[in-house]
Amino acid sequence: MREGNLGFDFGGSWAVLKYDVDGGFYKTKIDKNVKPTKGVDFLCISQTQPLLMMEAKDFSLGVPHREKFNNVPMAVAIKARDTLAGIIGGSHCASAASDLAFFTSSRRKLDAPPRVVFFFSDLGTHLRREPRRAKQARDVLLKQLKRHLSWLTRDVAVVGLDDYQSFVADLTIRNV
Amino acid sequence: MKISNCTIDNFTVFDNEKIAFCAGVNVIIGANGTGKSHLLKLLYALTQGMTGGNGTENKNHKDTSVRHLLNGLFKPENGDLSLLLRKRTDNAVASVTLESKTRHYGVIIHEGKASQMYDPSIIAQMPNAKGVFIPPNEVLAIYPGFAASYEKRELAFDQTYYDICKALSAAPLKTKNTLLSRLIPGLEDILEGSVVQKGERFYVKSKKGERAFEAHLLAEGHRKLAALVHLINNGSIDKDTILFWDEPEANLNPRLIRHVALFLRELASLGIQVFVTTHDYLLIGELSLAAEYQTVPQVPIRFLALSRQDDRPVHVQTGDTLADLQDNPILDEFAEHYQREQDASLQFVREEGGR
Repeated sequence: MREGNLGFDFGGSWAVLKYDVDGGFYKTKIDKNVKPTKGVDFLCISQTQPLLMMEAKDFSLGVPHREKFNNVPMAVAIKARDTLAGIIGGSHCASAASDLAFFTSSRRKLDAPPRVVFFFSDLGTHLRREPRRAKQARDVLLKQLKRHLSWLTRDVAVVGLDDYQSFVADLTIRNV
Repeated sequence: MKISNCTIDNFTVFDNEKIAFCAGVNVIIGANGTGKSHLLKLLYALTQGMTGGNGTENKNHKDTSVRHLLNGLFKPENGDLSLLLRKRTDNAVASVTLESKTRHYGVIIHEGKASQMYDPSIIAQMPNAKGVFIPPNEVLAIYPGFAASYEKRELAFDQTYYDICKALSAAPLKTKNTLLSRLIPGLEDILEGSVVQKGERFYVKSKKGERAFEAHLLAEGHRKLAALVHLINNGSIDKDTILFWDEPEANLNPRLIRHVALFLRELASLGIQVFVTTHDYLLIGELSLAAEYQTVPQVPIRFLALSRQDDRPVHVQTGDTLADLQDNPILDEFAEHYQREQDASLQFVREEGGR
């Protein structure tokens, strides 16, 4: 699955839906009818893990000017919030049988708090930010995101290319 | 005794707030001017008033004591306690009430006088709890002669400095609290020596005993930790203490912050209720990590955010972790800092590209 210039291979232990794919339930049923609506990039189900909601940003070519550092956590939280509604709607109203089954399983998984993972490819190089400062900046992002999602879950992570595998087992991310 | 609730009416920046505390570590954050230190001093004042007598004292005498205490802590001009009221209309009243599990104790300020609300029979049954207040600036350097000067002269220090110097004046106990004494080696490791009091002066004696550094020669942050060691050694901090620490991070290197966070949690694990105010990103982060992941020692931790818009009264928000606080000026400012870096960097890149 692709997001920006990055390819995501989730491995065999995950069932994954690219939630915001063109032609999918979110784009055709929600985004078209309820504006503004947001959605995360991936919904992932495994047998042993909580429901994984993953948002990915490819910042390797620089943070676009409209993506203000301060706005990123709120944007991710809004996507997670709106995706919850999408899961419920999809479990009742998705027309494709595979989508219906996926959303139903996702909804069942929501008996426990979901895990929200925000992946970004780079938050430093193009800013000439040295690695320790990049780590600090990431910590600030994480704390902001946790604050915005404290109503939903404490299972929140902000990950980069160096550590995403610690948070999402079997996932491989590569440049495409 | 643990403070479970505090109700504040019309006092300094507080309009009407009821604040619930946990029995472990209470972490109070907020921008300057939101009343963090006022809250800490109020809790300290009432703890002292609540436990300071045996219940047989004359009420007038106790009212005078509490008036002196509020004067000493808040230093209103000319000792006029009515200046501590938020709204100063005719007949305006301020009141503060503390609750522990089974007891209530309060102070009313009216027409510039403070009087207590309490039941003497209840006070008589009070367990021997006491408050220890550690002010933001370390005190070992000013300790020699400070208490005597404070008693005789008008000094620009509030009473917390006097009280802590009085607490430090006691010599070490012969029989120490074994549980609390276990916290001392960790602090002595940081100091690389033990704390020794000789007359009016404090020293840190190196581990091998070959050198003793006078307190003045130590880093300010180390002096703070040395004072803590002595307060435990002399029993000023013991199992019945309620500890109030105003900005522990002042003059401490960030490397020491995690040790302070652990020390606070260890105190709480031994039954000591702790109240700290802080502006420190690391300290709140360390304590929130402990709360979130329930690390050992597992103790109750509560975060309180004080916020205020314009001249409105202070609003208090509480949470079990940092993430529960929507008002977090420390985190907001760090985010702003990285935003400024991003803006500056993008501007730089644009200008470079334009050349």
